[in-house]
Amino acid sequence: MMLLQVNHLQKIFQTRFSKEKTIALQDVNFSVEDGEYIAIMGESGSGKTTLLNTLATLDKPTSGSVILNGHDVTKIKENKLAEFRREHLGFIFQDFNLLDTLSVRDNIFLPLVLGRQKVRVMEQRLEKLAPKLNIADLLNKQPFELSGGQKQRVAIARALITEPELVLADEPTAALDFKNSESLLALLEGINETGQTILMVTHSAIAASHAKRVLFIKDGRIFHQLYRAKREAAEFMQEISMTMTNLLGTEVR
Amino acid sequence: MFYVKLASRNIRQSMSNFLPFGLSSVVMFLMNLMIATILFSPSLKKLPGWGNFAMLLGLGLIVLTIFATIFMVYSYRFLLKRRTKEFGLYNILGLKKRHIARISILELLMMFLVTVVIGTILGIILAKFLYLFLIHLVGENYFDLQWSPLAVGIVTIMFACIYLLLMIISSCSIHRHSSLELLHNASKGEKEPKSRGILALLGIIFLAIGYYLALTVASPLDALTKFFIAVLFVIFGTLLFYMSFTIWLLKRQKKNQHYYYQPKHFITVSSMLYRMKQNAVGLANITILVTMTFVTLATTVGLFSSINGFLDDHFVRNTTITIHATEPRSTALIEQVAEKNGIPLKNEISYELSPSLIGTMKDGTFKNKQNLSDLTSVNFMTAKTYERLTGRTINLKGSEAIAYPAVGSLIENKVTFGNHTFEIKSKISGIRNFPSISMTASNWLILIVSNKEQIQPILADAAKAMGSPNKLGFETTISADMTTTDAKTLQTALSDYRANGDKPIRHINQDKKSTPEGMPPTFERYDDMHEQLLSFAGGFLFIGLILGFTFILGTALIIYYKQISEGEQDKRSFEILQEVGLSSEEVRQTIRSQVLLVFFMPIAVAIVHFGFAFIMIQKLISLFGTTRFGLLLLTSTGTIAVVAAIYYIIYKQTSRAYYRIVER
Ligand SMILES: Nc1ncnc2c1ncn2[C@@H]1O[C@H](COP(=O)(O)OP(=O)(O)OP(=O)(O)O)[C@@H](O)[C@H]1O
Ligand SMILES: [Mg+2]
Repeated sequence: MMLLQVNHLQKIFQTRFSKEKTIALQDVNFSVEDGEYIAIMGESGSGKTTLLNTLATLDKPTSGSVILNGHDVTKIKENKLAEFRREHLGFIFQDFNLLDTLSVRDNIFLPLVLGRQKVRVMEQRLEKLAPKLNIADLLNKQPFELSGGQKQRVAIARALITEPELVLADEPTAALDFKNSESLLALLEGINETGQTILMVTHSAIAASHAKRVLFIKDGRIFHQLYRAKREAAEFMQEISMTMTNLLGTEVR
Repeated sequence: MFYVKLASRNIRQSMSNFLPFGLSSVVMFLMNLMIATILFSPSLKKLPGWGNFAMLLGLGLIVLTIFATIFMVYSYRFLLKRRTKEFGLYNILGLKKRHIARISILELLMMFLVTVVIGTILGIILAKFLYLFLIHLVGENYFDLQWSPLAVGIVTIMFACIYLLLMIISSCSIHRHSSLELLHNASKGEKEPKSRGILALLGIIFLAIGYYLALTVASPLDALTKFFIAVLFVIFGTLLFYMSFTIWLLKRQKKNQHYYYQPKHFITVSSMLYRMKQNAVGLANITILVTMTFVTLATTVGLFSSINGFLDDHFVRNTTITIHATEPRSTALIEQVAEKNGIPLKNEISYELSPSLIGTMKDGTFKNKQNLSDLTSVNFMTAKTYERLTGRTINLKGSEAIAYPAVGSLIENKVTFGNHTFEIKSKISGIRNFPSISMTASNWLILIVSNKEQIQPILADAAKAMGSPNKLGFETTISADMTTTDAKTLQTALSDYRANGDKPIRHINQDKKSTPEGMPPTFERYDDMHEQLLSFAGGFLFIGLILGFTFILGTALIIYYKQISEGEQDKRSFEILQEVGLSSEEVRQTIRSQVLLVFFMPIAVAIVHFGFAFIMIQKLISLFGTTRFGLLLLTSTGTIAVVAAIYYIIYKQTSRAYYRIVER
């Protein structure tokens, strides 16, 4: 089933004081099937975050449409956007974006509380989720007491607790060391295997190699894609690195 | 020199951090300077009772200094927290901690100099401006607000001490933390505060002591001495109250899941709990300033507006002449002199009264003891006088008496003077054609007795207690309406007569050999008294308005500071919240409910504080001769309403600033 369809997406930034325009996205087209795990790769400044923000309804495109489950998200009214995000999307950010004022448990509950969910339902969902993400012991702590990897797992819990149709992740491993990145990527892979659709942007070939499909973006255009098929992550990574070097002319670690 | 450059560059570069701190420093300086300026103003000495008033102001200055210290430490710690990251970076880049400490001390030194210079200039301008503005508002007044170097000097020394404290705090904080800790300090979270029962208890005890002191004030002079101690207790009690009680309340709200897990409460409760320690200081400061505003304005406005009522109660006719002689002789003399000068005595009234016995009244027993904290003055009136004044007949037998407690109250049914006891037959609440208030700052009791002879022993005792060799005789008061010129003429004509109790009244030229003993008749005129009271109450009103204005300025600053600093902190939180799914309408609602709580709490607590202070205010005002409860209540409520309205406007404006910061 088709979950997400992106048609002719364009985003032009124009600063208020200068006439200079930056074309961050031009004619981006792709679609996402239900249950897919897609990585969008590109070098710095290629437009990854812009694309993700547009899909996330945090930013409006200059033209084009983003259709999620048959609804054009670019047409949603300003005052309904927050509600839409809360109900249909889950977010994982590079720097975790946990609230210092809330305990770990309450950080995870946050989107459900905003959606006026019953306390019993929140607790049931957390009970199921916490062991999977290995955060059951952390629930009563405050965010500043956690390590980076732990924080990111909490952020994932917060993204998943609403049972969203699509999880959007912006460089989720960028602030983590190698070991933590690895286990986090394995975790995301596992979550995808339970049927959760994930869309992640990254400039790391290692991160991308855990996805089922990788889209390459350069100067705001999608120009290539690779399927992982049944390959091991390590093997897939080789191909991704090669593609990056050949097509983009950049070295990738 | 290198460090000086670095320090001054720091200040210029992180202006957004230093500006709120500098602002609070300058305004605190300004507030202290205004009080000090009034205190050391030469025209203060022109106020009647200025000694007491200067003492009050001095105490106010001490309170405000303590207050400024708390606030400066609070805002400096806030600044320090945001600066530690920078310090950590210096440390890692190779500056020794000693050098970093030196930089931060230099920064403080510069802030201090800036504070003194700007504060003094603004102080002079503000004093001049307020003076002109108020002259315009309440008219010319003998109170002149002059700039005084002494005031600036004293406030500067006070602030030097405060800054010294800040330097110590900053050095300690730099030395205590390792470089890594310094680097991460700014982002480090705080553990949720524990609710501490001991603090709560201590807070309640402090408030109780403060309130108790206020409630048990027995007299104006007592009020002055207790005032200061009560204020200190209430300040610290308030601080502890906010620290403990609010945390306890929020924790309780958090425990109640169905309440807590609602979008509105969730964010408000958690973020308030998160910075409750910080909040407590801010809220306590606001509360105390608002209370101070209430108290100063209510006192001075109350004083000013009670003048007319006071005079109306004191003057039955526009001119009152008191002669130290018996009634028939006095009336005869006055009428004769008036007729000779062609002065009509319109609506003439006369009555005879015993001299005032001043002492203490306890459980219905009067003692000739001058205890300043509890004074009662007693006058006797004969039944005959009463009947003539009112046209009513009363039947008093033996030692029966009718009591008229004009000021204060009388509960007992017996009043004892030495070995003489009067049975109180009835109590009345007024006598026709007789004043209901006296000029002495004490309770006033009039006893109507059957005859003069009965009270001779009591008067003799009083004379002995006063150390006077003469017998105390009755005094006659004659009131009438007359024009100013007639009154002046009559006064001049009467000034040559000497009255001496039961002896005949004599003219000074009657006896060539010696001037007769005794006193000339005394005059009291409504217009004179009105002018006198107006100018003195006007002086107080003037000072009250200046102080009130200063306090409101301080309140505005603290609220602004709170909003700005919290806005900076909350900016990121609200960004995250909006990403996760909080609509901008909900953001607005959340902010509103936070603001509402922070708005109403200080006002509510300040009103409670004021309720207790009201009793003291009443006593303080009666120091100047007036005790009109109803009017004072009215002016106080009015003052509170006006201040609350101004406060609300300030809040509205500053929360807009807050919203602008956190809004994406
Ligand atoms: N708010 C903005 N205003 C103007 N230009 C912008 C804005 N945001 C992004 N851009 C420009 O759009 C282009 C794409 O930026 P984007 O942030 O999407 O890159 P990115 O692929 O996420 O890079 P990185 O890997 O460094 O995060 C860049 O050239 C950037 O300068
Ligand atoms: Mg990016």
